[in-house]
Amino acid sequence: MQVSLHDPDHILISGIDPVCSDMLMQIAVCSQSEAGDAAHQRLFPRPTERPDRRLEADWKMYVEPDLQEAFKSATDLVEADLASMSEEQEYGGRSVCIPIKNLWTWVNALNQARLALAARYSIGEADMYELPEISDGKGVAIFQIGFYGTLQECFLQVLEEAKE
Amino acid sequence: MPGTTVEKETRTEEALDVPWNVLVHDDPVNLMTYVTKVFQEVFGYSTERARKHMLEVHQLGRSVLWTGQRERAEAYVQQLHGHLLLSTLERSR
Repeated sequence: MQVSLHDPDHILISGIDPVCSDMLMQIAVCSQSEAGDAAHQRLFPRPTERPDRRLEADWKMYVEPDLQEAFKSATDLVEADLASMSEEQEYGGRSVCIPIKNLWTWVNALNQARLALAARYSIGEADMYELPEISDGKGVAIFQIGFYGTLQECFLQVLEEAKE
Repeated sequence: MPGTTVEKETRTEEALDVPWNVLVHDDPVNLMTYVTKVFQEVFGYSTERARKHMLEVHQLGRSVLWTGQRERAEAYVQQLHGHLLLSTLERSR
């Protein structure tokens, strides 16, 4: 898989194999959480360390819905960009063109997925330095977190270069 | 005055004046480059200043990113949560 500058306004991800293609398609699904589960607690953390019932209640009522909407709109944009992924004639892989102006939102969506996966499978720092066993759910999640992280690094670099 | 209930003021002037800290806590999943970029975006910090705070978070477990009025501190924490960082506000001592 390769990430390159397609034109001044777009990047091209090419040579996407079926495994990477599946993982890209799972960004939005991985980011989903339900109230009370570990992923939800990580995506919507408390605003204070010390218990503050009033602030926490206000946060749940006024801030969380805004965050939910923002997170959903980020994953919606990613899904819309991925809808244009197509088969490559030459190498049998797939490719997708992404507007550079969408990359910061992509970074957010990828982060949602990474954090939700880590919370769901109780993945800590030590786990991420181990070579994952792809035979179980946690191993696949570690692999996915690594893949999404590599994309994030790549997109951040493109954004940095675009700024200069 | 008979028949009149006097509401007790619970927040003193002093309490209202106390500045609030915006903290960011360590999270092993967030990338260092990403955290640095978020600090630049949210607070307008230079790369050096943003990186200093990022390293403080990474090495010490937390960093105070900003101190000031509570309302603004809450807005910063909301923005940081929007970028998925573990952020809290607390009274400055």
